[in-house]
Amino acid sequence: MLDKSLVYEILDTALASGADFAEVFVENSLSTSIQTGDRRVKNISSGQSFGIGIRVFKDLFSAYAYTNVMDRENLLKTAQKAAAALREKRQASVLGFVDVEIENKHKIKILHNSVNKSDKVSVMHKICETACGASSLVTKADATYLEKERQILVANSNGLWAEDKLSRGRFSLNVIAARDEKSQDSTDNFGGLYGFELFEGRDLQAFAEKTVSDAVSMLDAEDCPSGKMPVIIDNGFGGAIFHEACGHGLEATAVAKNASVFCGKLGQKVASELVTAYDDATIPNAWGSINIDDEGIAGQRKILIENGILKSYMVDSFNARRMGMEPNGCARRQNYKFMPTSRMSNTFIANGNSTLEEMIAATDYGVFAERMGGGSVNPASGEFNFSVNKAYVIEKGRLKQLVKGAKLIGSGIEILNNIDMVGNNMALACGMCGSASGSIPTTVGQPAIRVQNITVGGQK
Amino acid sequence: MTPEQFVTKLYDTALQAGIKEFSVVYGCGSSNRIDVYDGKVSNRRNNEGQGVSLSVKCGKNIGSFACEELNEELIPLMVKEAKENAELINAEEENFFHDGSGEYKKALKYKPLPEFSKLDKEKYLLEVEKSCYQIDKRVKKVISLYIADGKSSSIMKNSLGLDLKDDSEYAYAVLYLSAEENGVTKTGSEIILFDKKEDFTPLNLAKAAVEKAVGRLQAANIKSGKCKIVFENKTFADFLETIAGIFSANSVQEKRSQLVGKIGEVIASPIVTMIDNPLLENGYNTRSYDSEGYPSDKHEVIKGGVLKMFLHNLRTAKKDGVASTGNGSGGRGISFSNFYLDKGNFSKDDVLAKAGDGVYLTDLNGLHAGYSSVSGNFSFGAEGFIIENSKLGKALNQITVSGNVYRLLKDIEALGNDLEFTHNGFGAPTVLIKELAISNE
Repeated sequence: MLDKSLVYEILDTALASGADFAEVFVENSLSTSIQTGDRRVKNISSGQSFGIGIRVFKDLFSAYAYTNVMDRENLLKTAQKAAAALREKRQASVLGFVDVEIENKHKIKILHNSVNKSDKVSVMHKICETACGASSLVTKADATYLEKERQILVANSNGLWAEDKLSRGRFSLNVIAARDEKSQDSTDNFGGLYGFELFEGRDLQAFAEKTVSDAVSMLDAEDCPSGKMPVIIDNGFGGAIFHEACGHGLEATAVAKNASVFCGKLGQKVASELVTAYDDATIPNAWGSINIDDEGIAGQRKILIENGILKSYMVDSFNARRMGMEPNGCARRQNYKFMPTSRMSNTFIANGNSTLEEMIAATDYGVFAERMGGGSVNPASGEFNFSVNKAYVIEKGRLKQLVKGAKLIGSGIEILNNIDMVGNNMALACGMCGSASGSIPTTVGQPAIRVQNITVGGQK
Repeated sequence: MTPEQFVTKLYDTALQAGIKEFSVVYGCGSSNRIDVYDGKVSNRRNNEGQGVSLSVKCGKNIGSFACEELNEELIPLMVKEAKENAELINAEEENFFHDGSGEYKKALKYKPLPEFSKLDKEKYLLEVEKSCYQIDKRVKKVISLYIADGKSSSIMKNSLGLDLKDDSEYAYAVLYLSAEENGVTKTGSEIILFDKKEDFTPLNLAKAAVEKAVGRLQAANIKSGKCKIVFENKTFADFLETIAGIFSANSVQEKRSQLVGKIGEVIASPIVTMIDNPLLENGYNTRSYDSEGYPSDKHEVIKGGVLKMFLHNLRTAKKDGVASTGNGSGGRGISFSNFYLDKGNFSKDDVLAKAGDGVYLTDLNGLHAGYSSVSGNFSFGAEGFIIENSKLGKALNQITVSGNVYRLLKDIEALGNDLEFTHNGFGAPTVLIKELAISNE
């Protein structure tokens, strides 16, 4: 994307005022978004983004400058801006570049730009038509398809030279069902590191019908109960609870500043011994996977919690300095306009031994949360919240009435210790995660789990 | 290639490609940020960027392509992609460009006070950090503290004769800290925009965040159930931002709002008047035209509880046979300007007295999830205080608050006289709600 001699010059300029480390991140991406509904294409927009972010470190100080005016003169000026905060003698020089060998674990079969947009539209129409045909109560089925090709170059003054290119695609369907005065909507999606093969080998009919049946069944839902009670959280997007209750608290962004309830707890028990959890950036073609992170370090499979014991944090190179640890391939950012920091990739609780049926049968009174929405957390206090979109009341070991959405709230470590059953049906689901370095694709996941006691916020 | 040369070349290429109607928007800006941590400057940022987008009309549809690199070689790709996008769109209703007609009223928008240019940011931030620890011994850590500022300008030109220029600037400081007592940690945060004299006193920023964090320590629990709810002014403004979409003509036409066909009907308590005012003096979203270049004006969406209108862009307005309200946001969307629930007559204390017993909400958590405009149901995490005997009592550990927005509008029982805006441009006074469900223990 930029030639080595120019990158060398940029890094050299960035080091001139005393920085001990300099890094260049160049990103070129092309994205398209298509919205359809009512058998029509409602909108298509596409765009290109190309820019550079230059970062320097000096001990525990960092500086960052980005630009998208990419001529040599301006790039060197931007390097000077990054260096401007320091006014010392040169301390380091740029080492000769060594190309990092990168194994592409996420092979693409059909490149986005090799398929006509009209073919993409056809697939979208077909899924919407299936949804409309699935129930006479469907009043609307809208689809969105997003695709992005992202090419990055990371080079630093230690001689690292790493380049990578990934393609992502995501499809989402939103259905509205209405009867009499009531209306309800339901959304589901799938995505990953795919080209147009995203749609191949999937049961698109079952996907559309399930989304419709969720919306339709919710028309008869009653108000959800409130109060503290046992809650079984189903697999897949249910993993949002681990993402919020624990994941963010294990990011160095929070840990390095003593702003996480998980600070100083490595090797200690932080969860029920039934809980083993991973952050695994290496899962082939998963939505949150990477080959290299945005600091040029290979993505890793990290065990975060093993049988309830805290095993590792997610650490980026700057926070690694504060923490006296090594970075472990999790530095990510929305684009070159953000400084990278430690973030999750595909984060999930591993399978246990129970079946979902056993969990329900073992619950005298509680809630079975089947469809989840997003959430958020305050890592410093550990307090989190996340949404349930569709749930059932459990009475005497059986699923009873369907209930409307509710928020689940709690405090991270307390909830992790409160998990008393872990299922054997682990599944992953796509999401977008927002934090200090912007909005990035992440996967959440888990088998069904039972939390012995958690606050449910319904309308009843 | 200079931006002017690029825009001219793009304009000419679109004309040569036989495109009769098109629009070009160019924007550029720069920003700075300085962070302080542990008594030192920990990070500095200094950024600049630019971007161009081309929108073209083919038949009755508009397609677009956006680009950051002003590279001459990309111009044919921009024109080809935008045209291809427009040709594939077959929306039911027509899309339009605005020709620049109408009255463009002067809008005095927010900008930081002139003193900001002379502010020693490093000194200010170090002073804030030191003050936080001095104000209260229970302050555990100043986690995040920074000042960000920036400038941007844009040019909007189209083939129908529209030719507009705009500039804006901003500055703000963010403080986020934790406090600890008896092993319990709570946090507090504050943001200021340097548009008031008092924003320049470091102690004021420190005090605001420290009071929030410390005030949450020793929090109590409350029994789950239904009760009277008082929203702090800015907290209701955050709620309003989340639900405002129900007043967007786009949501209504897409049947994502239950207000379809309700213009002229009572949809809220008679004390409710809801206004979108892009001309609000010093407002954070003040503007004299929207992203379609259409002139802005003040609109009453609800007056005395009666729904008066929806907010439109050019496309939705044409479909409904009305004029645009100047709320275009680019693409198909609707953007709110300074959107607020108008104030009432009561002091905050009077509103608390009217509640008698209940819960006072100071923060809502997880607003991006847990709400559907289609059903109107919401359930959010929340923080606040118990209201006992008409006065604020103990802080509460996180609770949930749940209800239905269409019901809530009718259940507004009293409004304070303390209208305030959040930095996102949404405003509200203190609001008393007849009843919402809360859950805690």
